[in-house]
Amino acid sequence: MRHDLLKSFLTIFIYPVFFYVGPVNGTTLSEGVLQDALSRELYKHPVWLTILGYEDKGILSTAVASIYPSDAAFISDNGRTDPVYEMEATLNSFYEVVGEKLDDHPQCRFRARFIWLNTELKLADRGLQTVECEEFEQWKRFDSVESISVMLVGGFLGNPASYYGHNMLKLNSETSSRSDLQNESINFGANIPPADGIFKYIFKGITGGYQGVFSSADFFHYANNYGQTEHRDIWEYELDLNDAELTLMLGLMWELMHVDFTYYFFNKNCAYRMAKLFDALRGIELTNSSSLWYSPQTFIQRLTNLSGSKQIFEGNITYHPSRQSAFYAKYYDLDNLEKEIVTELVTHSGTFENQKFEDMPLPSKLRILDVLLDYYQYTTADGQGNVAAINNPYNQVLAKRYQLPVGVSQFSPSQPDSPHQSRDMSYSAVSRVDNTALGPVTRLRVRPAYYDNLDYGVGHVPAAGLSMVDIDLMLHDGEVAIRNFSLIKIESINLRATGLPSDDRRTWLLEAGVAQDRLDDPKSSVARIRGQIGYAVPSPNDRGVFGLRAGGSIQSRYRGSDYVSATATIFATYELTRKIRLHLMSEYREGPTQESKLRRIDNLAIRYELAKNFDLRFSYEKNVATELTLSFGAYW
Amino acid sequence: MIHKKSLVGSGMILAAALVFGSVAQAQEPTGSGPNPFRDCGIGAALFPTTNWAAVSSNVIWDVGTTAVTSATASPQTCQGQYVAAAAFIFETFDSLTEEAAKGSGEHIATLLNILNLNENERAAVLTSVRRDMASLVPQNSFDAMSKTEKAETFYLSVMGAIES
Repeated sequence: MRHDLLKSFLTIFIYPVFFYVGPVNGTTLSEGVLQDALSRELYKHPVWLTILGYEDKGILSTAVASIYPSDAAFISDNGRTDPVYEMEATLNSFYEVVGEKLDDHPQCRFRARFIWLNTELKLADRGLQTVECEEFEQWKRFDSVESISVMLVGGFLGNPASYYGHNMLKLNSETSSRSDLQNESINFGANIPPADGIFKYIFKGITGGYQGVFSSADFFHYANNYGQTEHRDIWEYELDLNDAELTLMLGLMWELMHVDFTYYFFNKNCAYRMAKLFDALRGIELTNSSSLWYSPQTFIQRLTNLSGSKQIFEGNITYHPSRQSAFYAKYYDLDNLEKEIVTELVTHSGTFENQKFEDMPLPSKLRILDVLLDYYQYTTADGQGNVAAINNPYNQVLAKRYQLPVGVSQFSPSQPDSPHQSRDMSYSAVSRVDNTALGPVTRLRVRPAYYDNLDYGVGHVPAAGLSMVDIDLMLHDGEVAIRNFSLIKIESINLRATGLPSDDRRTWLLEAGVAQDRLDDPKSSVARIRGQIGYAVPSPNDRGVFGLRAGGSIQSRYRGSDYVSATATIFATYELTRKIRLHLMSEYREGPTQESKLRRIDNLAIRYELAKNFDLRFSYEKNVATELTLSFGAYW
Repeated sequence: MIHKKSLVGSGMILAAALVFGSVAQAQEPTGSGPNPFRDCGIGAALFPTTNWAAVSSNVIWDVGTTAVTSATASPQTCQGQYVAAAAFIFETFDSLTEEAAKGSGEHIATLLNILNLNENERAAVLTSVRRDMASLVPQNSFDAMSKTEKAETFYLSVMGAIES
């Protein structure tokens, strides 16, 4: 923000003369108030900049402009680019005549501005008649909100927009007449027309083709959708804010729910918008407007790592397990006989008749029925839980439960580690390679997101992988070549699968990108889409997984390869210790013509965790030529 | 087969709304008379044919407005604690019926909060609803019901218990 002596003179002594301060609702904006605001440069304050969405115009510019696309967000004609004019127009608007509908008055519509400016300038003490904003008071349930929680919803592979999770806020009201499910929750997302197909959805989501808005609803809407339908865990991080901060945040959320944004999937998404709200508090900065991406996990990690005067999280975490997580936790808490009865009831689900069950004591019966209810909810395919069907096994279990006395079943408490303790999201590594055909090679890898089958952590699916724009370059004889560029790679494995019907141990892999077809030729890069499906079983001690997948790929052609090929892979991932993991894989690849002979590719990779955000990896790979690789990696 | 008590209860609600309609509009909470499932679009509107992306975390999910805009009754009629209760029952039906079977739970407590029932009323309503559902759930006719029909049945059971 440019500020020189001339501008100071103008703002303090000249501008007030030209602004309308005529009669309004019996009081007027006094020149003293205006000069106070201007002399204190409140238009430069982080709270003011946050409320109006002002961001630096560019790296080399000191000017700011608001990112709000709609003119309705501003009072003055120059509001989008001039915080001074907008502040002056805002202050004047507070003195406007009050019409029939109080909630239309600027003190109510621009609630955050009013709350903050009233606090800073003591407007009410200096003659301003304040307006009762009934809609705002009802929305925030008057003074019942005692804290705000930041929510992290786990990732969901069923929807590309949800791969990396989601953030929301929850307003916690401590009253005996309202449960947590009734607490107001604040969401930010893209407003997507129902007719948009997947490719349009992806394109517009990435390029800013959608409007983004804040909205609010009772928490049970989200808890039900995420936890019951999408089977996503929710982590809640309760913040420690004082009353003034709480009031300001409520006003900010209210005001921003009436503002339009432009939604960008990678960097101006739910996580970014939620994190930006906290710029209004204590000089906190959780975001960088020039970041190429910003994830829900990053938001939570930065928020929980604030310290000193900026610390607003004191460690109060609540875990809301999804139906799937609840099912697995309960199932694996059953003893062997209880598990045996569950298996029998599931595999013979025509009628609920099982003598072993009838012979069990009541507490075991309640446990078994609870597990079965969760199992049928988790494995029902319609996404809404219940199914209309005669002899529906879920209803049979429910009917059995109604026959038994009321009471809550007992299970051992189970809570996984919180995702805020996980390592950072992005990864870079530099490698030294010894190639039997090429000699020494240097490789440089950058993976913006997210994890692979060796470095999965808290909040990730164990032994699985999810990555985007993972690029691995090789430098050899002064030339750079693409060793691997994975636009997207998903490796789905469910280590906790019980093996019950519909909860099988299926594994699948999908990858699209560019890869070096053979290790003896740096110019053998081909564009490739490949997919595989198969079966994976956990190791007896649950520290690893063994699997087999088969599938194929479509690719551009290179010598010794066809456009298509069939593949079969056997693999194993194992955690030797908490810090050492290994992955072993052999893939058989063959095309339909004589040009593409059966080829076997072997890979052994070992990862050692040096620290939370650093690792060492060693790998052996044979694909025509052989490579031994040692790499040092860092997460950021 | 809907329990007789529920039919009587729902009939009493509707009869009261019809007889005292003009007075009710001035003094009673709106939405207590009509069946929210039939007249306010609960069920049909809340989960329309869902675009694959529609329930993603990045989509606006404005349940209340969606329900009201597809109502056959007026928006003013489709407000109030009973419609809110019906919407809650529809959305969280599975959790509600499971907790009713167990005799307690956060969703049951939330539903009773929405209906502003005191402690004595809560215990009586829960006992009555549990009794109704215990006889309904095992029946093939219940199996064959859609989610909307099941939720409506539960709602009528709750309303019948309140009225009795």
